[in-house]
Amino acid sequence: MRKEIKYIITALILIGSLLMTGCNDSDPEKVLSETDKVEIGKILEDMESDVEILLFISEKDCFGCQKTEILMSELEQITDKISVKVFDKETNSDLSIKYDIELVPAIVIIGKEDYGIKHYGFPGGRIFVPFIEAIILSSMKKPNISEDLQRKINNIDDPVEVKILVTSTCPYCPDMVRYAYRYSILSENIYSVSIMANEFEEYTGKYNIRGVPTMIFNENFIRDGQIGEEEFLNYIVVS
Amino acid sequence: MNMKVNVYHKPIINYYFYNVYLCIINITDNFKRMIKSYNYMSVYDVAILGGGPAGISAGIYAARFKLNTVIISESLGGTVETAHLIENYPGFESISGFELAQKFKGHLENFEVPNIKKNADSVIKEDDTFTVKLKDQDVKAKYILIATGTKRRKLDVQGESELYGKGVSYCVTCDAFFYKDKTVAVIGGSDAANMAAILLSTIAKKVYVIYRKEKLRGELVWIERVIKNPKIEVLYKSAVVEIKGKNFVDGVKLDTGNEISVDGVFVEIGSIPECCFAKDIGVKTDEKGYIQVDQSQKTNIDKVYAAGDVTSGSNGFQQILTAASEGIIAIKSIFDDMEIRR
Repeated sequence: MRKEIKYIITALILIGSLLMTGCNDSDPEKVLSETDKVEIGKILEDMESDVEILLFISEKDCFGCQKTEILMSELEQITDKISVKVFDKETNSDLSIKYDIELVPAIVIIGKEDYGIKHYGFPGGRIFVPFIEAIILSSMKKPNISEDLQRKINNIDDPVEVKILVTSTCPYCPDMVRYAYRYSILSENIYSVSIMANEFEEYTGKYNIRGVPTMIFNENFIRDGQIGEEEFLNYIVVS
Repeated sequence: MNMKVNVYHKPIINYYFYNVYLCIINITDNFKRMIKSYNYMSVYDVAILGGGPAGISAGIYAARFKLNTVIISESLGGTVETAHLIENYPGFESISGFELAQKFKGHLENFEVPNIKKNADSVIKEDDTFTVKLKDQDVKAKYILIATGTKRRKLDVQGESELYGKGVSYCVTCDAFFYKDKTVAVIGGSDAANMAAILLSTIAKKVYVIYRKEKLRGELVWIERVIKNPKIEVLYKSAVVEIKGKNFVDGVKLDTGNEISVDGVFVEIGSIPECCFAKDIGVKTDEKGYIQVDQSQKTNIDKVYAAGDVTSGSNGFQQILTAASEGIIAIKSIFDDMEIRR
């Protein structure tokens, strides 16, 4: 089992590094190499049930749409447990409103249920790992957690949206994204939106920040820098 | 004899990058195993405080010496993770700090060394054992290895804390992209500053390196790249006395009286030791706060050892290699000391 874990970790690192440095440069029509697909396929074998990925794109002014669509298509080809539906944001306005799509490309992960996990931008670099984790965790039943953590989460009565501004090269960002995704899975009142800040400069600009990771809780409280998991939850609780 | 006193009910969802897959691969078996590995024993042989290269290499060697060991660190990897590029670690011609840190952690995963994902608040000596005080529990150990590393040194000038996240940054790999075609300043003249300037030169239109001394220090490879880079201008014998700006950084004031317009300031002026609790148990430090150790990595306090950047060891040469080396020397010394006392 240890070897298996090491193997998976190594594979994810290699794949994440590849995505960070420009993907499959030999063929612009591909993001993942055949080797990457094999490695990811082994990781995704742990999915327990189907996961639906809703990808919102646009034909105009979309920096990462094409590459993201290719990547999602490649993930869909890797396992029959992932299905991808692609929507044009403008021509599917009802759906865009339903999922509150502000930017494109937007990825909505729907597993056993809609846990409220959304990502804006190409999910490459260091964000690729929590992204794949989110797909796998969404396919599983809710995990058992400690009574203390459950009590805190149960006390969240009102919806809380957490936006996490990240970059593909930020070493502190994956943990912040991971915390948010996990809390979304654990609570129907927590919604997570990870945003590749470098792809949406104008959007990022409205929060007056020049650093990542930055967390925005319910649009009214901004916390920048790396924080611990418990502190992260505390911010959610008080938001 | 070790005895379980309580079980740390580690939430199955409460994991970092690596142990996520312990859960995913086989949720039942692995959860049981994980809980078992996270059991808090009554007294560990060694409590390693810190999870950087020194702590991780110490953990690996401790496991191989069959010492009952725990690593107490909120995260594993240390400051290595933030390094843009590492080109002086044998076996890797050029590797990002993030990747190297993942490889360290992956290697540690091969051994049964539990990691309590919290930082120590204090350490108390009681007879023959030490109690490491965490936020909501205590951990007891016969030996302590302090490998808590360093934290970023701040400029401590007006505007620095006020404009953090609004132009002041301590992580070039995180925030460089915000400065596309802008002008930035890197404060410092060591390897970290030189590497930061080189990375920023690929994004920004102009990079100032502001350094208080007459020439840059560090590896000549990096210095040469900085000097030859047409986008980088080094301002020697200059120190920042104020970071200016209202909503965002818009300039820096130097002790020469000059003011420079910049959009961002990256502070790379080294680090200070992270060992505030070491003094609680009487560990001696040098005038800069680094823990003093002998050749066996032993401190002045019996059964307390230290390794890595937090110490004054390795002739003050703070490298990943020297940190890892000090970590394993410390474990070997602890092992030898335990043998002698038996």
